[in-house]
Amino acid sequence: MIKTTNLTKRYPLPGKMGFVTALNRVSLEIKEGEIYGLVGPNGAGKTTLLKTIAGLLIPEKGTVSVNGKDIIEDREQVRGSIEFLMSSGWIIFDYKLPLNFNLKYWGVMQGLGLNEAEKKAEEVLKLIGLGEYADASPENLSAGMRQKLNIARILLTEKPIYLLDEPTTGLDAVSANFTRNFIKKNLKKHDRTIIMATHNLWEAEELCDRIGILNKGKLLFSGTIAELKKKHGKKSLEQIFMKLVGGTEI
Amino acid sequence: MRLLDILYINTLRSLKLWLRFRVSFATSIVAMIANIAIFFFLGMAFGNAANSAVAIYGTTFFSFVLVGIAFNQYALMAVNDYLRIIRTAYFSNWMEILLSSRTMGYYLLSTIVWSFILTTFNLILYLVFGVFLFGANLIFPPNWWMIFVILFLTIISLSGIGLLGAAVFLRGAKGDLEPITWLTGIFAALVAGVYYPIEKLPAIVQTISKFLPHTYALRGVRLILLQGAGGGEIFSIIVYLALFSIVLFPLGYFLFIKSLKKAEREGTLVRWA
Repeated sequence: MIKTTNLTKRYPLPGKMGFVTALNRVSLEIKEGEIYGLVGPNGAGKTTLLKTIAGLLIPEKGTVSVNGKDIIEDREQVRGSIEFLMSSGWIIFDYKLPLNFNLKYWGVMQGLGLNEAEKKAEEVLKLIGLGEYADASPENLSAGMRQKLNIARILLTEKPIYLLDEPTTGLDAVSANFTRNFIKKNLKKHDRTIIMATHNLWEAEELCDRIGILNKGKLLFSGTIAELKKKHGKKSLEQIFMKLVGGTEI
Repeated sequence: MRLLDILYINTLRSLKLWLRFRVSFATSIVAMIANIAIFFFLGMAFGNAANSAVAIYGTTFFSFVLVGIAFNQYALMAVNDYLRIIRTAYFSNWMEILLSSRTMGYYLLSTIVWSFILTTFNLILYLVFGVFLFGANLIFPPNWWMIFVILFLTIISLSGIGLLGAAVFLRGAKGDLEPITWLTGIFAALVAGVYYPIEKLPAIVQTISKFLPHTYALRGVRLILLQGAGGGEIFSIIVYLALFSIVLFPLGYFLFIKSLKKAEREGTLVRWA
């Protein structure tokens, strides 16, 4: 289980102009094996929350525990149990080297032996639908294929928790559909816990067991879509979202 | 085992990237030859005046400078590369992956090993071009073991300064300029005797030069390569370099680890949150 309690994180503004609050007393619980969607507009604090759970950012106040381990006290253990899909994470791959070598490289960097990393790279490339491009280089891939490569990296090692930062942003309908199906069919199995940040409401509805709506660092809602609709009494998810985040309905 | 695997894959990757940029490689060779030629022509232009300045080394001005610029590359590598690697990882967002996969230390070490391989290759080219294209006079074969000991201690001692620079970067100096490596570079170029013999400089400059490991390293390799000096003559140089290593490396390493842990704790290793 992942539990955050009164999580607060501020970033200093340049020139000692004060702070911007990225997370404001966020408390939530995510159960093992659950897909939890973090929904919110740009700057809501979704990525900050994911990076804080991953132990990459340290909260100013509050606590995060992953399966009972504190992210500060037991940082190494927590990190060892989490794989983080970063938005545009494909930029870490060398654009000229073949996909299989790029993945083998990161497999070794992530703790696999040389032979194991080579085998695993081949395996995940096939799994993600890039098997025939194993010898191609990232510079020849479309945006959708690059995102697949990004996903392939996090599949190199088996982890109980996956944090996905906007996995379908910038993808065309076909690639986004592939990614969603992949998350449902491959990541959801084996009781993996997934937290996924997304802008897309219907994507969250399709994939997630529960969602949390963030705006300006505040968690405005946490629960199932059905609970959200019941609570706000409107038919359209978009209308509810706009009402919560203070946007303008068209 | 994990370290060996990472050393292998990182070296292989770096080699593939290095071999890929053939034009860049060719231009670096041209630049190297041009750099050697500048000092060759300087030696020619100033003739006896230049040669008499380095007479105490029993060689020509050109041979003196060739050894200086060739071996100074190790010093530049050891002082600058830790900072360069950390800075690149930070600005390219690799840091997040390295931290989340708990590979930071291995990555740093394996990348430094690649820098060492590349620097050694450049050093050999400098000496080969200097000797065969421009007629530098070097003792061959030199005392390889003594050269190895001097280089090893030079890299260890200067790595201490390099790690200090990386520590300063991690503590918040994330702009373009990091003061420790910058100042070391300036002082080394001015007073360590890369381009001219420090024995000919004012007493105050000679005193400053004694606080830089570079000075001892360059003097040591020059004694070996230009005069064929043996163990007894350079023993004191090795002792000085060993003392620098004993002080600087643990200090740099300790402060680097401390800064890394502090930056991790504060979450300042991650960009674009």
